[in-house]
Amino acid sequence: MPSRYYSPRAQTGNRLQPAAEDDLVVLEPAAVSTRRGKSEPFSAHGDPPVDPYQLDNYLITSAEGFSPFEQNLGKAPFKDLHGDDIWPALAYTEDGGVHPGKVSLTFAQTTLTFRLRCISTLQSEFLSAARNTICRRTRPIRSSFSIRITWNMFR
Amino acid sequence: MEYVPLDEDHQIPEGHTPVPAGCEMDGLRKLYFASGMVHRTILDSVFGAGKLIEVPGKWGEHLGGVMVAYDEREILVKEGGKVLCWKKH
Repeated sequence: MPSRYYSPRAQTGNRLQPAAEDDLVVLEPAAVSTRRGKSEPFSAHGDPPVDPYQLDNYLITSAEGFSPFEQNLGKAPFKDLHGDDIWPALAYTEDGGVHPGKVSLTFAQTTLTFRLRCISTLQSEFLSAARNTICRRTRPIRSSFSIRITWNMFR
Repeated sequence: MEYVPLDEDHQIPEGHTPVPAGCEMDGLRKLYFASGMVHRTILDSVFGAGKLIEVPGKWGEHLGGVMVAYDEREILVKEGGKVLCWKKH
């Protein structure tokens, strides 16, 4: 969506601004911090986490070098209008908030609501454990995302 | 984890622990993973017809329901919202 793309770094120093009258904002990856979950590989068949009630154990954190959208993410917990896969996700906003939202595998963007707007960001953190979903990490591919292993805590 | 339906006051039923997912800018008003049912199209919402679609979003005690992003709009779902909670063992 090049007509909606907005470069916050170039104009406002990483601050969000509406890109168009429709209030949809697309952030540059560097505009938001998304290093919340752990980044080391984890086997889906490995040991359970020490603290199963720690959300970070179930987040796939985006980063450079991997694309979670090209991994085996298992069954998506949600579908959009067209039947495409949707996952719960969260993203950071420029005011310091952290907002849950959704990520579309079709558009590789996280969308959340913030100050009565819909905001899309290219970076995201997947919640992958919801609804009995298992995610597996494969070898790195060329992309601006990374994926982190998680497992099904209900196994 | 499991999605737990909110009660009539848009609160989590007693005995369930929501999965923390974020917060507002003040750091005090917590936000949680949630889902809500919305009409698939604007026409469906106008005429109250058609199937509903479940959309992931956020919930907080201060929101009065589940907020989801759908069709490039923010929608406050006041009925039928669910919040992701740690599953009881």
